Amino acid sequence: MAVIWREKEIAARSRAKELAALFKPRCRTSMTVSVCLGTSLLLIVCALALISYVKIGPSPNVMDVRARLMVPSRGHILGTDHFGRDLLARTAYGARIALQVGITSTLLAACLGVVLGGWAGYKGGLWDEGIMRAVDGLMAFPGILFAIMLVTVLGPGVFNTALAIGAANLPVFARITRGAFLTNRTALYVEAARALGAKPSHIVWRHIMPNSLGPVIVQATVTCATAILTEASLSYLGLGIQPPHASWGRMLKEAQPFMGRAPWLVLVPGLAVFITVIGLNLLGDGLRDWLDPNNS
Amino acid sequence: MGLRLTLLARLGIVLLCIGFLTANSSFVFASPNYGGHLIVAVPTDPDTFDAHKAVAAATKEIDFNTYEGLVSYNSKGEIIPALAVDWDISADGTEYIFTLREDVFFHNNRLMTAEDVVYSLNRIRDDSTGYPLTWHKNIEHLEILDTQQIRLVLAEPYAPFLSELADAAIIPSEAVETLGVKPIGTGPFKFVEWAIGQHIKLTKFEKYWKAELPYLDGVTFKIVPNPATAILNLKAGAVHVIPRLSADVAWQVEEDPEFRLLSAPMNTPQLMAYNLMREPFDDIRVRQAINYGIDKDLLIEGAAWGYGSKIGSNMSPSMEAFYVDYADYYPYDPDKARQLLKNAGYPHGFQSTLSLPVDYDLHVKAGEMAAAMLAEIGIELELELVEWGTWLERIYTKRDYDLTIVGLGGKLDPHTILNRYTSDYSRNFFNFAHEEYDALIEEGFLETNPSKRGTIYARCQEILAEEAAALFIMDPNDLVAMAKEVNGWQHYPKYVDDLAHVYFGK
Amino acid sequence: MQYLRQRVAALLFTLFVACAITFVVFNVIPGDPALLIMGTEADPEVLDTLRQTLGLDLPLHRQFFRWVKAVTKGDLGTSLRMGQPVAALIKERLPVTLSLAALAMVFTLGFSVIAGAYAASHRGRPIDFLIVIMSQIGLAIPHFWLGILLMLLFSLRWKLLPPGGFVQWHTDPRQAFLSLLLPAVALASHRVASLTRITRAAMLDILSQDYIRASRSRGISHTVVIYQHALKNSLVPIITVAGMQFAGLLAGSVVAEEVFALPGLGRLLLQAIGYRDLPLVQGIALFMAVMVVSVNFITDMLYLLLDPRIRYE
Repeated sequence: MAVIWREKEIAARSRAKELAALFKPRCRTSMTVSVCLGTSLLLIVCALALISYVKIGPSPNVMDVRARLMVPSRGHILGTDHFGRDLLARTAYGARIALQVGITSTLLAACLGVVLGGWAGYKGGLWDEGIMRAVDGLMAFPGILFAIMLVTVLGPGVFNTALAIGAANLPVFARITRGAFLTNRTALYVEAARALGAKPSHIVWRHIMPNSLGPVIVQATVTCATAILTEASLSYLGLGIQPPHASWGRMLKEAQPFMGRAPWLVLVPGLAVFITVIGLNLLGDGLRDWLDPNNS
Repeated sequence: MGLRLTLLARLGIVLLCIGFLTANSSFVFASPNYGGHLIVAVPTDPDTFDAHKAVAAATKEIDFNTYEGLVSYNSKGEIIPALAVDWDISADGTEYIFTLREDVFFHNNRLMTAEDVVYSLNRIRDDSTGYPLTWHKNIEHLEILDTQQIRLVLAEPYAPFLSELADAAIIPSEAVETLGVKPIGTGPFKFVEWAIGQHIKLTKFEKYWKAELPYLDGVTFKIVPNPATAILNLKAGAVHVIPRLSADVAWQVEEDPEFRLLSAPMNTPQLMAYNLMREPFDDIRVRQAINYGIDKDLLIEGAAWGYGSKIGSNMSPSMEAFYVDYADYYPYDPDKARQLLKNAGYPHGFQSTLSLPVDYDLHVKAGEMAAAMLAEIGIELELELVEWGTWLERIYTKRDYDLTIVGLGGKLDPHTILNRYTSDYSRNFFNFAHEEYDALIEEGFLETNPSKRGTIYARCQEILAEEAAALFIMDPNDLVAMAKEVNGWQHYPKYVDDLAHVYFGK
Repeated sequence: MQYLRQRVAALLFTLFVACAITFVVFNVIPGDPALLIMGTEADPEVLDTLRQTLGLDLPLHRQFFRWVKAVTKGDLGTSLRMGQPVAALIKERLPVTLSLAALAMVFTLGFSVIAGAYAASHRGRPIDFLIVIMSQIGLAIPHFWLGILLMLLFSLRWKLLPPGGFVQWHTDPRQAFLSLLLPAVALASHRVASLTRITRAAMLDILSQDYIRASRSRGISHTVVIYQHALKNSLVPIITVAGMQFAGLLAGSVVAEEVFALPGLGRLLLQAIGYRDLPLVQGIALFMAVMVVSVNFITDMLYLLLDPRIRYE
């Protein structure tokens, strides 16, 4: 589905069901293939990120100005950048940053979004009205703009970037959870539990929540992909990750003046973003089919 | 034999030099062609065209071609007559009598009068205009003597007065309401249009008082925010000149015979400021250790591709009359740096934060390199990128920082350059305090004898170097990329583009 | 009618919330607009005068309500930095963003509807597989990276298209079109991919329904079935998504404008944020919010019109 989160809001709308049904898997093999492919691509990225933890090979921030803009060679498998830093090491460090930002921001958005949306959906009435209007207000800006604004407020840095992106993605989760809660709240099995005298907290945690979590998990993989794209964009604009930390977006920005001379400098980080995002999207597609209750 | 060879070799070198000089400067002597429309790439929009309110450098580089003051400066930074043919300064340095030119027209074709001059200077003095500079407060009295003469009295002698007067544009009073969007001055080019975010168009002013200027029929300043895009535009022929090109993309014109790359000091010394009120930077040994721990040549190579002149005090080599070379006062010596740190009580180094203005790529790059170098002597710097707005407020005004890198300059008088290190100065964000220095600045301010001023400011530079008041890095070069048919470009030690002397030629 | 009135009220409230959020956010950020105007030459006295003339000395809530009041009268205020009316600045930049968004939308609709329908009608064949893979790739490729690559090839290597920058439509329409071509393609990549997938899925759904099978069995040609019957009926989700995409394009082209140095609204906003030019930030934010919210509203209404099965109480 749409990657720009604004467009993804559709999944959360009341008519989302109708659309979601359109994505029913046509064959199970394609689903397995996409999960497998997605997972293996992500494993590559994770392995890359791991390289940056175990210090094999050149360090990402060691400069050697005399060996700047070198073509890929034995010493530097992917070549060097404008400060003579090893591109592979930097790409690996970028993977770590991207995963950190992607996962942190998605967790933040999902947790807060689920709580807010769940509360609104369960309580209904004024609570619902209030929370949802605030969420609408947030949604009136496209995600990237909102993230830009927040990052200017919070200042750059890994955690702040994650926070800004998380906040920008929060409304989608709130809407999805609220939608799921609304449908489940009046479902027969909940009525039954209530009739049997179950406590509200029990109903929420044991009945409604597990049944609402499917769409949230699917959304989370897609949001993680979006978050990584947004981080790359922010860093490209010079707003997200600070140097000397390597971030793919920043690497692209820094490489742009030299793209005619050292094209590998723009190819590698872009490709890294691409692989990560496609991996997450494939995984998300697979999960969606797998978790879809209409599909058994 | 050996001697003859040497002589021959010398002769050869001399001949080569002559050949080189003439080849390089031929465009100065060749008679320039008239005509043509030049397109110049500039990075941002101006703020306002009201010359008395504008502060953005982006505005001043354009205004230089439309507005003029009583005096002006040439490409060496020397004061030259402009709207005033001549002036007399009284012996005590407080009274100025300016004789005005008689043949100056405004762009609305009205003759300039003494009333216009007084009106303009008064407008600048008026606080409600909000003129961004404060020197005008020093003007005590202003009067018209006769149709071509005005008298100006200062409250106290002020040596840099003329150089600041060069920025005081003379405007016609009837145009003042719309000046911000439709500038009217006396300069060689008159304003045509400003399409925000796209371009500013100027056309030749036929009634310009220097009848032989300008050579061009018109100029368009095209707004191209990104240097890489600017280069692509240059190569595609969509712009002719890129002033202040980023060194990162200079390689693209260096290698191309279709283009020319001019390079000269920019008069904007780049330095790393220590917050002298904070530990450990209040200890001179720590500051010296940092100075010894930075390989400036390598830093210039890494951050600016070698396009910069190493400096050792707060003065650019382009200020020829005042510059004293302290560039190697602290030669690169990491062992000495470690020793000094040890003596200061930091045998294992320390941690600190280096704040960098994110909008200035050169400072960020220099900061990245400095951090990598200082890590070698045990100083761990965390880089903190701040927006220019935050930089101005938190670092520059509130002085809340450990270390920061910035470029300071664009001034033509040593007083205005060095003044910022006086202890009671509002913009002394270094927190530098030195009695002898304060006294010298006070002395230089009142001194009008050029050679005595030279001695005074030489000592000031020496104090800054001795005290390691900051890590003075380099004066970055002003790189100008242009198509090879563009001639007559002159570097100025200020952020201006002089287009009156530019022409198209073979 | 009742529903419509409620929707409009909610819409206005949303806008108010959006403005309040922007206002609060921008007063929390460090950075004094007056200081930014003056730069390193700032003098405390002159700064105070400037703050007064800019109205920055008022308490925050009064600044906000003064702004809201002016807005209801149609006055968006004056830019602190450029001294020009905010409305004029927006109007100046709008054609760039609008034509970029429109062009990207034309690409998106033109390509994805055809590709989606084609893929659906050739389901399971290699061409379908290819289109599905292409759309996965399109979804994952960062559009600014694609922009850089396109620029590298088309402007730098082959010198076919202008390398960024924009010429106004009225000065040179051909050049204007050419300068928008690459950014529009880059921007569209994402949306083409997502809309292709949606079209394909919607078509497959419709194609499996009885009335399509019936018309097929009546001997109506394949093309007619696909493009007249099935496509027409899958328009609802396509339009919904396309509407949202357009809203997103209007406001979300910041990065593309940056890559291609286009003087659009997004870049103006970035610049305004950098200068802490609050009236300008507020004006653009409000404008973008209005765009997004009203496009969504129109989409909802279209939805209502197109699908008679849906009724809102």
